[in-house]
Amino acid sequence: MLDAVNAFIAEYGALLAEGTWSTIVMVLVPTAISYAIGLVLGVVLYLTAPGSLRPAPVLNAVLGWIVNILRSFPFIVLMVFIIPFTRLIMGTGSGILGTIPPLVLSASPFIARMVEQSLAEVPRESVEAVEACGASVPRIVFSALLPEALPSIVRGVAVVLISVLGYTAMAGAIGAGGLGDIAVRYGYYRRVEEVMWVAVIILIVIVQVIQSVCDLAARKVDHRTASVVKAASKRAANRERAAIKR
Amino acid sequence: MIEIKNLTKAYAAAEGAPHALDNVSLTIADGDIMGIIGMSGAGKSTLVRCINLLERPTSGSIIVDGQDITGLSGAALRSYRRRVAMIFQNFGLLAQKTVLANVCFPFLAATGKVTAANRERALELLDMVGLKEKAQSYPSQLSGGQQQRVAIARALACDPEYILCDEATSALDPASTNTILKLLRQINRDTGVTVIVITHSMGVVEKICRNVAVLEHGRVVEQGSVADVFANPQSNAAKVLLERVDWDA
Repeated sequence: MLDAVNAFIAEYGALLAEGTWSTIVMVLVPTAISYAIGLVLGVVLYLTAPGSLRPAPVLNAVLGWIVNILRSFPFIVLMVFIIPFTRLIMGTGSGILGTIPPLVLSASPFIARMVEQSLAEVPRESVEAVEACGASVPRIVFSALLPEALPSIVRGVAVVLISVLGYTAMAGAIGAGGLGDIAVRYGYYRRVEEVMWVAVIILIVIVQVIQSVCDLAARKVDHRTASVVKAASKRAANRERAAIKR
Repeated sequence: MIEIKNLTKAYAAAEGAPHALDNVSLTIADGDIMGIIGMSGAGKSTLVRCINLLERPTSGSIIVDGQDITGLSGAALRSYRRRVAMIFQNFGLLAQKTVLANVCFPFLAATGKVTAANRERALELLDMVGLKEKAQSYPSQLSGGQQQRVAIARALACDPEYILCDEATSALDPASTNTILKLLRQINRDTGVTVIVITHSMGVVEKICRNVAVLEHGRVVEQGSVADVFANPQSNAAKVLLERVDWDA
């Protein structure tokens, strides 16, 4: 048994380690870039909504359309569809670099909607109270809205990371490697099922770690009592289900 | 002094729908504790939210110390809002900030920073509402009555000339209600700040107000001193609110 394990590690260990590393890079780098875009977009969507702090119906509708259109693409279709654009800005349409533009284009609108909804969960009276203090809109956003929404935004990070992890499995189609690609190649084409099994187990572990770290961080930054948080996270769970269905 | 003249607020609803506020005229003297009372949907919240322009009136004017404020925007609006503090039914505190940081928020809003002197002042105000030892707590660790006292301390941090209370005691039990009302009355006596109290409870009006206006379907149907209105209510709305009508009729 031990010999078999050693033989397996000798043959596939390096492959799986490299795949794990590629996956982690492919998840973290585009997600970080996407948050820079998605946070801004989410705040603008929130502020320009009807009845919000800076209503701008046309801008809101246009941004909403763009977000919805990008979210309509299945990831694998988007990835292939924008290859010319990817080549243009990354110099290559394949490999890990080639996955960054499609992942960013896919994740940013998703994040924008998550952020928009996290902001919308901040109680209306809290926002009005700081408005009634004479706070400017930037002040309201940076000193009240974002800090109040932070626990919800952090919980959203887990949902986004896990979705992006799912997308990276498809990135194998443009030769980006990663665990998903390994699982498909070895499990489906080469019928070396042990490799697929191990790849899947590593993916499960990554998902668990993402969820646990984000939950812990969200609890750490949340200063509401348990009962209030429970109600809020129940709302958040419903929102996540709705977001994933879309 | 606040003079409300022919104030009308229409929501973009169907043509001919009743207005939230219909030609309301009202004068609130400096140093007064003025009650604005009415049933749910009478327009009293809309009226008070027009005073600090959380809602924009459709027509009419609100003249505060000689200046019509209905056209204000930008920096002028923000500096006007600092003169008119507001407290809310559900307190409107920031759950992720400490009690002290909540009370300091108006300073942050006004100047972009919170100085040591600001914090000192905030602690004085917390002391005044009896919550100095809770400065480092978070709102959710406090009872409703305590949260509303924090909201009052925050309102006073602006050093306001007017305090608008939108159903400020409606979510509180009778004991907390009394504490809040006494606090508002004491602040009114000590600082001369004008207090405008929106409520559907005649008990609240009776306890702290000097003058009262009764609103029904967006119109002022009766106004006068609390003593007069209580002794001899004229409008049907006032009679209902005073429970002077046979409820089972």
